[in-house]
Amino acid sequence: MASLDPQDPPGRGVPVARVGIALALALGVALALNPDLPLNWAYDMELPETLSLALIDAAEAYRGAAQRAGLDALNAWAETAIEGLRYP
Amino acid sequence: MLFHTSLFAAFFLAVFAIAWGLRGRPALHQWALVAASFVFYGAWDWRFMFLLAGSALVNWAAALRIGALAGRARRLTLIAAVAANLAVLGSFKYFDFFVASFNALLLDLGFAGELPFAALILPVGISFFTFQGISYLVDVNRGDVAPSRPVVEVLLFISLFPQLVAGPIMRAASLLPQIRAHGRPEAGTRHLAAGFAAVMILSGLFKKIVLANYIASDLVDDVFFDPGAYGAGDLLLAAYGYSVQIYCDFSGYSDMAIGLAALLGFNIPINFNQPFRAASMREFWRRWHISLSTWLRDYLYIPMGGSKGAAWRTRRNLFLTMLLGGLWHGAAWTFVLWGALHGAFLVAERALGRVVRLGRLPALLITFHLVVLTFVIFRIESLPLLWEYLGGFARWDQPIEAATPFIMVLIALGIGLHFTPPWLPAAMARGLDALPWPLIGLVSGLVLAVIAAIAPSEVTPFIYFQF
Repeated sequence: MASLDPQDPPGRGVPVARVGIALALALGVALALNPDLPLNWAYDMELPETLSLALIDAAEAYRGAAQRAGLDALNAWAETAIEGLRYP
Repeated sequence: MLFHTSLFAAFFLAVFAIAWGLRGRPALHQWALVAASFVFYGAWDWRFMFLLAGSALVNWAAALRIGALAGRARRLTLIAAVAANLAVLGSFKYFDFFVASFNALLLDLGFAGELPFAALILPVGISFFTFQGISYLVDVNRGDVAPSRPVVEVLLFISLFPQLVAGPIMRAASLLPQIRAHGRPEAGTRHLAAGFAAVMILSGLFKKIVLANYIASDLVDDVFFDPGAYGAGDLLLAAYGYSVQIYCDFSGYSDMAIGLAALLGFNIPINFNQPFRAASMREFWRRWHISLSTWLRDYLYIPMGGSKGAAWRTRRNLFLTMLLGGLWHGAAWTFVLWGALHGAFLVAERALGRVVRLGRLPALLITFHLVVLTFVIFRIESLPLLWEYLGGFARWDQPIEAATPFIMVLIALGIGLHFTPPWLPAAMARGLDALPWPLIGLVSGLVLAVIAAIAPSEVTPFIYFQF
């Protein structure tokens, strides 16, 4: 496939903060849909508990933002992601 | 830390948030990117961080000196600094190669070839950041860019992590002004080309972890390991396969690097432009590893005299440039032969160009097959194995065993990517940018999940990391 020329990227672009959230969302969706990562993946991967708790806090904050924005699907997805992070 | 791993994804997300969170404090923003780059590099081996820092500091100090001097003293400082860069590269990358070759020569002459090896670990990406350091020194000497007084600018120029370990090789005159813009509070980036970044990262991932991976693990690795066991059909398909693999592997990495850098607010020029649709070797080098071929042109070929002067001088300069370009790839005679052949093809093409006129399609097919032949030399482990591989093209009676229909489809797809319309990626990027931003994330996440689902479980290492 031809490569894009970065000197002239199409469009005006997206504000930085929104790109950050979109990036987090993209990685979250990919992670949530990854067949190799079942529920409680954080526990199975022996992720330190403090890190899991920090990730849960971040996901909760994201879920809150999605809920306030009326984005039900994202809210539900965040709920699932949080479950995946919880210890059994 | 590899781009396709979840560890890198978490790392990048944190770097993105921290770096842009510090946007109002430009110096901290730059230092945060330097710290992230050193963490990224130190993840391979923490000792390499000292080498990277040393390289950046030496080039920073030397460039300041070059900027302050004039005449002969300036020239001598430049030569000393470039020699220091090449000495580091030579020690780590070529010392044992020359010792082994010298020992073999001594043995042939009847002496005891027992010079000791240094057995140094090759730091990942050393060829790339050394060339970038030399580019900085030469650009300062030529007056294309002013030497940086703040050390953070040079540290970031040498170490910017998306392109640190496998390029594209950036020019000081191109990247330093961008780094300086990041250091000015009034010029802070407000918008990012999210669609562009998504297209680059996702297409790069697909090329690397789906196309390159399957072709390598299901065909190329086996055939190149023992070419004597396969017939001409498998050998031919493995040669096509490796050409597609190295394109997808390297251009995939470059595309991801460009996309990731765009998310951090940096423009990195394209490194590949559908190289297999080239109709001459000259055109091939304008489309393949563009950052290396232009580096070799501007810092080696032109200083040697370029095409000015007698025809034989031009041919010599072309040949030597490609020979050294081959050696840059690795310390092995196969790379030297690869570079020499490309040099010879370019020289022959220059000589024959005025005599032989071919249509675009025959010229394209000939160029493609010459490139495929040279990639066999590039991939093969040793010269004896190369002769075995080439000798196998006589075994047409042996059936195709290694190349499955699935792999043949992937090879065809890899070649087919070269003939998609040039406007397609831009159209895809525009399409993504037109979506509401949460949808950009959702769509990118879905594509990412599909790529992860169809990719093989084992990912082969990036080919260009060894250089």
